[in-house]
Amino acid sequence: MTAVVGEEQPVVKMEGISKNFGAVKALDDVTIVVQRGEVLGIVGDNGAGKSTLIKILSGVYQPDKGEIYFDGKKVTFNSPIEARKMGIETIYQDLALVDDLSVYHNIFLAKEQFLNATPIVRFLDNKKMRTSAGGFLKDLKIDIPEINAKARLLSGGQRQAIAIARSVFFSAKLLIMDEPTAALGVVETKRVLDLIENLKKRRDVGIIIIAHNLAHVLLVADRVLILSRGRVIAEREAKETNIDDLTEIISKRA
Amino acid sequence: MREGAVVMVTVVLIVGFTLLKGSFLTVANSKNLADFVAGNVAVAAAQVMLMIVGEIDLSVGQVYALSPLVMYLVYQDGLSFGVGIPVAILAAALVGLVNGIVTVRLHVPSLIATLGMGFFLSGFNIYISKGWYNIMPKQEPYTALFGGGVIAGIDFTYLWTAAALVTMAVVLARMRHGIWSIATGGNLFGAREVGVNIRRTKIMNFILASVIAGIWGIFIANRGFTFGASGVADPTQGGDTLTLESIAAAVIGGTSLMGGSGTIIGAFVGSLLIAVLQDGLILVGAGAYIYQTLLGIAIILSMALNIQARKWARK
Repeated sequence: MTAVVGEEQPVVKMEGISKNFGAVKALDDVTIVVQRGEVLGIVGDNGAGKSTLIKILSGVYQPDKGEIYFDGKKVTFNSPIEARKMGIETIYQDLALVDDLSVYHNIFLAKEQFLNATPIVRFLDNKKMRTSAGGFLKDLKIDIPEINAKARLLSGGQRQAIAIARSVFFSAKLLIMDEPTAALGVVETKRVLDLIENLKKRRDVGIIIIAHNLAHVLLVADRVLILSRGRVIAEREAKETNIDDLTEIISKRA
Repeated sequence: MREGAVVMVTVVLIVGFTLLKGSFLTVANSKNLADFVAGNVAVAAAQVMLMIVGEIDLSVGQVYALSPLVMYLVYQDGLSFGVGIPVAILAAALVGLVNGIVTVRLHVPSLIATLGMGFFLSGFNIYISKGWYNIMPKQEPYTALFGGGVIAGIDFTYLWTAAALVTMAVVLARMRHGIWSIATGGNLFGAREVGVNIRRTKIMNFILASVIAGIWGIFIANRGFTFGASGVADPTQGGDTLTLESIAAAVIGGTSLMGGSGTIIGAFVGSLLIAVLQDGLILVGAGAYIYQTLLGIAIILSMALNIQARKWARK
């Protein structure tokens, strides 16, 4: 890791990214920057290139042209695993939790804590996992019925929140949320948006949020990037724009 | 709790059989019940572990016959059971490994992979035994430890069975392999996504099922020694009956075929219910077909209940 000067080192910078699928230009010279504690919204109509962009960032695709800098260092990701190891976590809505495991086992899944008994037969330290998962959820003001409850009993928004909390707990530096509110009701949506607000205050992760619902994006994003046909056609500070403005930009160029 | 309902049904059956036939609740008959449960329940519990990861093993009954034959053949070649038993257990483990690799690497559904393995072993068992059963010699301490011995009136097999059940229950609740098994069966892609080694988890449970079936096959082959007869390595021991009863016990005990859930205590109460049903019907003089008829009903009812219970839990 290179030394960070001040706090202005962006978590991620994608520079001049292009990607073709056959004759289709999915992305054409796209540049994005995300700072720590910042939420970048990416909007655009279907086929604008949003998911191609985040798939490149999460290691699913490799760009044809352009560079990715993570924590100031140039990186290439050949697989999602490499991206995750660096601290880039993508939250998928349905993929995350195991219904028949408790909330804390879900949070610690594949990162279990053990009692220091014997090296060969290792027993889980359920008490430790329960306590630290509970404390962390409390810090993030995530409201769940009980830390021992099976994930099956959680609502959609609670599940989403637990999945997000899990990534942050294990020191993700960049969270990519693909339609985090798509299938959620009003209260549930608020729950997830509140969580994003809380994460912002902690200032240790950068967040990219992709959503069709412009109102949700504007509620939490600091900046909004508008993509159309693989290009960045506009960039707005969230404070200085509104739904009508964004809708107009998107529909004019679509 | 689902197991609670099964326990209640079992108690009702015990009371019913006792009313019909006073000899049902005697020491001699409880030994019959214990023998049945001990021969079956460890395999059923291992089947539960496999069903939790979303797989099934239809070849356990044939492994149950294979391992005592291997043990006997190694002995025939002039080696002690001290060699024969480890070789037999390794052979069982190898079967599990092959089942696992064919399922996980070649993507053959385990239903088919282990069906094939079961057929293969049925023929193989007949081939290596030339179709004959073999009288087991006694060779201590191996014979006593592996199913031929009795200590303070209790068969060694019962103790091993209790130890195996407790171990599997502890693994499920207190060890990473248990958590990973539930995660693998409950959310395959999600589990892989966060770093659970789903392939190894599945293969380990295939090996577990085979090894348990192999070891308990040896126990049962040596059982004759516990009542003064001798042991027998029989190529038709176990077979499809054992396989299907292990699955029946798991299902009656509330394990879902969809993966992600199942309990060892469930395998136990399932096995107990089957044992009571089978033994009680023999005592009251009912024909074998009645046992099968009732067992069939019990399996379907439990599965229907299990699915309904899941629906209610979701609401």
